[in-house]
Order: sequence, then structure tokens, then C-alpha cells
Amino acid sequence: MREDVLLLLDRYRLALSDFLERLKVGKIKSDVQYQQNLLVSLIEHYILCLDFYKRLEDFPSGPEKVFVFLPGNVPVIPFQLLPFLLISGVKEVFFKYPRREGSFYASLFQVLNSYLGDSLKMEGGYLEHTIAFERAKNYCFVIGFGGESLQKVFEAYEIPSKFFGSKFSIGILQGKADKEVLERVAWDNLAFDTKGCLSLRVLFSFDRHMRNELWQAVEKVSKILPPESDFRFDESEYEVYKNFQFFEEIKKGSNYFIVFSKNFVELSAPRTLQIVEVSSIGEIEEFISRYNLYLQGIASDGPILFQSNASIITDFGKLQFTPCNWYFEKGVNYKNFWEV
Amino acid sequence: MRLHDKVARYINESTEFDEELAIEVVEFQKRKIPFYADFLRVNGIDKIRKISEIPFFPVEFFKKYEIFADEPENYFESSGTTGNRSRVFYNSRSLELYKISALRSFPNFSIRRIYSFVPDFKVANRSSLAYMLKIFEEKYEVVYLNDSYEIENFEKAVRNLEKVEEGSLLFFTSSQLLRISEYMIEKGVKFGKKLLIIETGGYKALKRRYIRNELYSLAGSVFENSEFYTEYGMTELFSQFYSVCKGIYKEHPYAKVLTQGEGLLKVFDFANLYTVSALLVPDRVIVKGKCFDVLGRVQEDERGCAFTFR
Repeated sequence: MREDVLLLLDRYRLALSDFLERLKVGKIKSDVQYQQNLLVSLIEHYILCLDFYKRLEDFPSGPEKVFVFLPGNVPVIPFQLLPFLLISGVKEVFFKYPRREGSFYASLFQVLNSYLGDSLKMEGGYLEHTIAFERAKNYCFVIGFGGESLQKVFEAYEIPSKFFGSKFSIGILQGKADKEVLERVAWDNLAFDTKGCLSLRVLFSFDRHMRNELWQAVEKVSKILPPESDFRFDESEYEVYKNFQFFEEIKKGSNYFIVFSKNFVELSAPRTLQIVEVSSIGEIEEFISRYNLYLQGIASDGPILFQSNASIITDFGKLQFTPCNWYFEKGVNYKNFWEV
Repeated sequence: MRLHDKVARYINESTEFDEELAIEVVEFQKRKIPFYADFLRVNGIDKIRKISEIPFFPVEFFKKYEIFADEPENYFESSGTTGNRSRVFYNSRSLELYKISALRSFPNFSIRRIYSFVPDFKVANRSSLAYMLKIFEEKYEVVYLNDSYEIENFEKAVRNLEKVEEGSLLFFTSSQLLRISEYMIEKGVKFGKKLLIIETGGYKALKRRYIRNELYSLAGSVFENSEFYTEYGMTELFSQFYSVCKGIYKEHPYAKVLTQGEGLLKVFDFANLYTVSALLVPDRVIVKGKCFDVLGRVQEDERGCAFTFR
């Protein structure tokens, strides 16, 4: 039995490597043009993570058929989930994805299915919400990523399910910022156009003299992580401008904004980095106590000594590179994932 | 010459966008409206050199702040739920610009009489649209057929329509046009006179999202021999745009659309001299030369897993 799983993981590794090569040479169709550099690095990381799974002493026992509601614009969840489904013995999975992301996922599943055959049958499609909710009832387990409206549906499901709500990530710059650190901050912020729950949206900074250096860093990284094809700069512009009265300074770049403020502003604008200049850790702790429920990750240049709900605490530049045993939420691991 | 007079003359006579005057207008608004001055300052704008370099001011602010560069005498209020309405302050000087712009923006239709389902300003005294109709009274005979923004008695409304003379212009809100067309279809009533019908947009007030052509197709089955036009305007903008550009809106030199290609509407309206001229509106538009089409209000897309603050 264990040998079967190990063989399956090897086949999956081959499949993923094949997909990666096709992606690198532009052979993967996609309606949304994602950030190629980021996606390639992440898939390489997920391939390395397969060693972690191979080293596990026990494999969990999962349901036979799983239905997954995927969020939009962040195409990495299947990569994070699939090895776990494989070791859990899942035989069939359906991913409900957003309308515009059909081509990418269709290409992915085609490659993976060609290697995995009947061991794990992967399907996916864009479905209207109500149809998806009905269809999901035919599966043994439902996994969802999304906002409050989807969460309400999950609460009403009588079949086993697990729901991961919308979250966001922050950074804490404790020391003096150098160029390299600021570029890593920019990387964390611009990854997936700040639309991912692991995208750094706010940076708390004790360094109040790095505005120009930060701007240069973001400008540089914005060329390495250009906007995804469906990014609408003017919508970020509207969001930023309509909150201007809370900012000390707004810097508009070619495809991003940096805003500086004394206090945290509730701002949801893609490709926008909010810098909150603080003078004590207490200010950050106050923020954490207020937004703890929605906190996904914390990146920092020093140790984080306070308690939080964040599922990842890491160095700058690494927020997207989740640990191999990471399952979307603090406290969830491969042993307890299927418990409801 | 005073800036007011320069702008009034410009709205009345201009054929091209005057960047120099636009900069003078922004400087004036910056001096007179501290909130706007803050907006420019936070965005790093000190000296204005080009209009395309300044940030455009979200119309959202009219809901929360008093934006006025002079002594206000009264205000218009947009439709919407309480707390979500824009208040646009005015006085006799700003209304003078409104009037010049409204009359110049209105297409040169050969009509003598306007019939309006938009109520009289005497009844709807916070409505800038009703005020626009009042302005038209100076040039046309305006007959009001309805006394609210809703049509409460459809039977009476249809009876009133019978009074409408052929060759006239009929003003509806899009919601009124939809409702009365639906009613007439249900009753099997048709209206054969040749008319020009202008509906005033505002599709978001309809129960479901109507595409303009869909509305015209429905209304066209009732008003069989009428020509349909649409007006794009809002309380926060003193100039209006009409669909005289092969079905899409035509900009004016004094109300210039500065959006490039497709994007949110950025408009510079000289008639807004006493509020803010460079406005950012959360309507997606597509610009084709001097014409533009409105694709709709910004919708909440399928976002990533990032938490959205509301």
C-alpha cells in the first residue's frame, strides 16, 4: 500500500515537471496571463515538497471523491492540495474554478491526468454558483476557498466540508531597511497582484527614512512581476484615491501604488503597498488583535514574539513559498485535515 | 477677465480642449477647496503643468464632504439610499455655468416641445436632472406628464402619452421607460407617433442589469416609430453627454473625456468650476475618438483569496 503511494508521488513528480517545462516554453494556454517568474518558482518549490510527502511515516485516509471551490486569480491551490489528495487515497476530484481561468486549469489537468490515469481522476470547470453547490452534494467531501457568501453555503452543507475564508498578509520591518530587504518586500506585495491571501498588503515599518529606496525597489520588482493580464490599474487608483485623506503620501508608479500612513487603512487595492510607519510594537499588537481572524501570513526581518492567527511567519520574499506541511490555516495539518 | 466669465464664454464657444484654462481652473479649485488641495498635496502635486498628470478626484467624495469653491446657496442630491447620496452644492454663479453647459450639450434636435416624465423641479427640487429640464424651458416648451420619478398610475401615464404631439421629444428615466413599455406590452397598447425619446441612463436603478439595446428593443416594440437616444449625466457633473455618436456618447471640448482606451471614466468638466472639474467616476468606459461608450459600473470581480475590506 505504502509503495503504491510512493509510486504515485513519483508519477505526480514527472507530471508536474512535464507541466513546468511546457509552462516555461509557453505551451500552456491561459486566458489570464499570470506572473510567469513567480509561477515557475512556485511549481519548482512544490516539486521539491514531494520529498516531504515521501518521507511521511503514515499517510492519512481520505474520502473517495472531493469537490473543491477555487478562488480567482491565484492559480496555485491545486498544486498545494494535490499531493495531499494523492497520499490520502482520493480517487476523484472536481475543481470549480472562475470563468476566466478555464484554459490554464484544463491544460494542467490534461497533463496530470495523462500521468496519473485512474489513480486520481481530475476534472474541473466553471459552474454557476447554484449549479456548483448542487453538484458538490454528490461528493464525499467539499473544500472551499472564498468569501462570506460561500462560507454561508458551507455552513448549510450536510456533507463533510472544510472552508478557508479570505485572508491577507502583512510585513513587519523591525530594523533598518536595505535595498535587498525592500526588494523582497516588493516581491511579497506584487506577487499575484496582491490578490492572494499570502500577498503582503501592509508593511509596518520602524524605519521612517526609506520611502525613496522603497519606491526604487518596487519599481525594479514591478518589472519582474508585471501585472497579470486582467489587472485594472484605474480600479486600484479609485480605491487609493478615495481613501487619500488617511494617507500622508501617495506614490503612483507605472503599474502600482505605494501609500504611507500613520495608521492602518482598510484598503483593498491590487498592486498597492501600504506602509504604516510605527514607533512601537504595541501599535502592531493592537492591529493584530483587531484583524487576527483575517491574518494569513507575517513576513519580517526579525523574530515575531507575539501570538497571532497567522499560519506562516517567515522572512521577506518567502511568503508565497509555503512550507510543505502547510494547509491554508494555522493548526491544520495532514493528520487532521479530514477531521470535521 | 474673471475666471468665471472666461469659463462661461469657453463653455459657450469652445471647439477644442483648452489645457491652459483647465490648469487655471484646477489652480482655482485648489485654492478655494482645502479638501481638494489636500488631495493634490498627498498625491505629490505641487505645481500643475499638465492635466494628464493630475490625479482625478473620485466622485465618491461628494457623498461625504461639502465640495464647493464659493458660498453655497443650496444643493442637489443624487438618487440612492440615505447616506449614500451625493450632495452637490450650488449658487447662482455655478447655476449659470450649468445652464450654459446644459443648453450647449443638448443636441440640436429640430423640436419645439419637450414632454417629460422626469418631474418638474418645483416637485423634485433636489434633482439636478429636473433642474436641467427647467433650463430647457427657456428654449422649448416643456410639458410635465408625471410628478415623481416613479410612474405610480400607468393607466394615467398612457392617457397622458396620447396628448404628446408627433415630432416632439419625450424624456424618461431608463427605469420609467422600461416600466411603461412593459405595461404597454402587457396591455397590448402601441404608440405610433414619430417621436424622439431620450432616456437618462441610470441602469443600476433597474431590477436587473439591462443592456441599453435590450431596453430599446423592448421599448421599440411599443414606441414603434420613435428614435431612441440616451443621456449620460450625474449630479456631480454639470455637463451632460448624449448618444449622438452612432449610438454612443459624444464628448465636448468643455467636458473632455481623458480616459485612454478602456478604463474608468476620467472627465474634465469646465462647468464644474465651483466644485472639482477633474473627476474619476467608477463607470467603465471605452473611448473611440471623441466618442465613448459606458460599459457599466465597476463590478466586484472574482477576486483571489485575499480578504476584501468593505
